[in-house]
Amino acid sequence: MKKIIISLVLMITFFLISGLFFLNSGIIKEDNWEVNKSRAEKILIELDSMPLIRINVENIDFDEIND
Amino acid sequence: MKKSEFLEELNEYLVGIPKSDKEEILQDYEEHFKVGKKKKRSDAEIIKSLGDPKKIARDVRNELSSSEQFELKSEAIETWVALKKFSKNIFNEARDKIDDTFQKEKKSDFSKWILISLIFIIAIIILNSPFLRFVGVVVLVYIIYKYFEEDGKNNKRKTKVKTKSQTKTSIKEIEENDSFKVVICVLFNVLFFVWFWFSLFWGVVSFFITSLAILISGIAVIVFAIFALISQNNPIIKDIILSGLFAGLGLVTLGSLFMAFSQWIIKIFFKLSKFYIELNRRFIKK
Repeated sequence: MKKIIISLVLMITFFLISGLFFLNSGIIKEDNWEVNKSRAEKILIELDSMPLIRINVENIDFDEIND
Repeated sequence: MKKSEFLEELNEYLVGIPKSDKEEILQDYEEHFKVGKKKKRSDAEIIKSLGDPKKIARDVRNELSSSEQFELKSEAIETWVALKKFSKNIFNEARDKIDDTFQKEKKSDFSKWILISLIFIIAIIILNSPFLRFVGVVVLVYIIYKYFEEDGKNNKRKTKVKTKSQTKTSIKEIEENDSFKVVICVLFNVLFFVWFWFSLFWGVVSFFITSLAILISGIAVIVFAIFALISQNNPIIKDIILSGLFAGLGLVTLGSLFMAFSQWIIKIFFKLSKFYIELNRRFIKK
C-alpha cells in the first residue's frame, strides 16, 4: 500500500512538473490561454529537424485549434 | 491416494521448474516412500506426513524463485492443473458411459442423453448460433427438471432399499444421477460460462498488455528526451524536451502502477477460476 501511495504521488508530481515545463515553453499564451502561433511553429520546426521525429508543420492549422 | 498418484500430482504441480531440479525433487520424495515402507508405514500415512503436493510445489517454487512473481505463477499453474484434472474426470466419465453403451449393445436413455449432448455442444461451438443457444437453454431446463424428478424418485427408492435390501439397483441409479450432473455441468459451462470466462480472460490480458504498452512508451519517451537533451543545445525546445522527460517519468510510474494492478487482477482471476472449478467438482461428486 505504501509503495502504491508513493507511486501515485510521484506520478502526479511528474505530470505537474511536465505541465509546468510545457507552460514555460511559451506555446500557450498565459493571458488568454490560446496557442502562440509563431512560438509553436518555431518549436515544431526545431523538433522536426531532430532524428526520429516527423512533423508536417505546414499542415497544422493553429487558428482552428484556437477556435 | 496412492504413491503413484501422489508423485504424478506432484509432477503436475511442478510445471515450470527446471527439469534437473524437478527430477531431483521427485527422487527425494520416492526416497521418502522407500524409507517409509522399510518402517512398515502405509502409503496413506507417508502421504499424510509429506503434505499436500500443491503446497510442496508452491514451497519449492518459492525457494527457487527470488522474485515476487512466484505467487502469481503458482496461482496460474494450480488453476491449470485443477482445470486439467476436472476435464480429465469429465472426459473419463463420458468415455466410460460411451464404452458401456457400445459394449452392452443396448443404449440406455441416459447414454443417449450423453451422446446427444456431446453432439449438441460440438454443433454450438461450430455454428455459434443464437438459436442453438436458445434450444440449449430449453434442453438444459428440461434436464434440470428431469434431474430433480429423478432425484425425488431416488430418495423414495432409497427408503425402500433400506427395507427391501435392493442395494444394487440403488447404486446404479445414483451413478446415473452423477452422470446427469456431468451433463448439466458441461452444458451449463459450454452454453454460458466458457464464453463469459474467455471474455474476462481476454479483458484481463488486454489490461496487462495496455499496462505494458504504457510502461514501454514511457521508457521510450525518457530515452529519447535524454538523447535530445544531450545532442541538442537549442534553448527554444529545451522546455518542451524537459516537459517530455517528466511526462515520460509520469508514464513509467503510471505503467508500473497499472502493471501491479493487472497482476493483482490476474491473481484474483486465477483464484476465482480455481474456486469455480472446485465448485463444479463438488457439484458432480456430491
